[in-house]
Amino acid sequence: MKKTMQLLGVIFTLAILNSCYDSPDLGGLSSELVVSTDVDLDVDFSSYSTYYLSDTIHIVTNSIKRDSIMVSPESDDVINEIEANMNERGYTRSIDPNDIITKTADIAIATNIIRVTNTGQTCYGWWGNYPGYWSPWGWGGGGYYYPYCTTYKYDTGTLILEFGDIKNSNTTDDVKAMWTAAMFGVLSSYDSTNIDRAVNAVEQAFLQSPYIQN
Amino acid sequence: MKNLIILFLLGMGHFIQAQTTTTVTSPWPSDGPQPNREIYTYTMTAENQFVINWEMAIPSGSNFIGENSYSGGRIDYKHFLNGGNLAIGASLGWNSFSEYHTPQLYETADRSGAVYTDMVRHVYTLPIAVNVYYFFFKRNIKPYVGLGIGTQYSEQDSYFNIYVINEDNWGFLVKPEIGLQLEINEKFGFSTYATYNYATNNSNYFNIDYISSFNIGAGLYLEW
Repeated sequence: MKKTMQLLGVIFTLAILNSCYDSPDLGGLSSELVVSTDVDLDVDFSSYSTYYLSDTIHIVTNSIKRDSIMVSPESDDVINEIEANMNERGYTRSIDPNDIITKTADIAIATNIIRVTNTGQTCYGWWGNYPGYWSPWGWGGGGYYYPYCTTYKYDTGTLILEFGDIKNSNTTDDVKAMWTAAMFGVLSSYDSTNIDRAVNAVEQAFLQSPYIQN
Repeated sequence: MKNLIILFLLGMGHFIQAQTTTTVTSPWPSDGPQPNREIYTYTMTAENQFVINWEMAIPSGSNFIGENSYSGGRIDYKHFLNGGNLAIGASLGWNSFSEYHTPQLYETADRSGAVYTDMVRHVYTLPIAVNVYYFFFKRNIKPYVGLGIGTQYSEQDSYFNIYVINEDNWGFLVKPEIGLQLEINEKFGFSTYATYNYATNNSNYFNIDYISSFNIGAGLYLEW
């Protein structure tokens, strides 16, 4: 009886101590892009009526050779989503870049994608997973085993929409940003999935910015 | 409910026996003159107690997290002053709360900035306290009240997409407690308690003024 009690005590103790830090379950998190917007509160959006929107999206990466542009038809889904929202809010699109110089367009919409490839290395078999902190006697959960390393790689992307205030700018070199939307998150290896997420994110960006209204 | 409580109290009465007592037979000859004292008794009660508990916690008064933690624990040590009913001690507890929040809009105070996302919120608490306890009686059932003060370390995390925002802070802790212990034998017994933990941990980032919870624990004690 006494032995049993002691054994139960030890099992119970181990079970309790095992729960010392319970990491949260992140399985339920969606991979939809996080949508953040920022607006200049002094801007009166009803004083603008036209906007310039190119069908080209600039892509900036952390590897210079991969910097590029996205043009129609690849960019159509995202650009059409922006246009549809702007038109619904009572603005008229211009597709002629000269409209910015001649100030025929009140707002210039810039679309950029920042794509970052993250790589790293994780090693196992060393104490604390740091090479150098060697555990000579090889104690621990599974005992000692020869250290090995694996590499990982994932891409994150940010789609940035910026509204440049052409109407109230003196020169085209110094354009004030009235509204910025940054939509970011981990990227899928399927481009179609990324495009779908970007379109959803643009819709949400306008949804959470009801003040954009002519 | 009322009937149940009465039934429980009646049941408790049935179980309460005399204090763990060893009666030494008087060495005085039975046919000799009567001694001053009729019976020699001495009582051995434990002076030290170590308790290890599983603990669950119900958060209260927080807008950051609302779901219960079922993965907590607490270890505590008590020393009975002169083996009496008053005890002092120290305790260390831990709890992990986590909760999924469906996508929603978070705005800055002036409403110029807004972020829309779903997230998993996580709060880890580590209360460290010195305690004083009063045991009403120490028979095979030992009810007590206690009060602890100390400090609490806490971590608050917000996980979204593949990102995380961390905060960690220390606060002042106060925790009143009621408890009941059941003796198995001279050394071991079951322990159960309910406590209210209030700590002044605050985070401007997450808009947290304090962290408080009702904690319920169950475990085993060892006395010596």
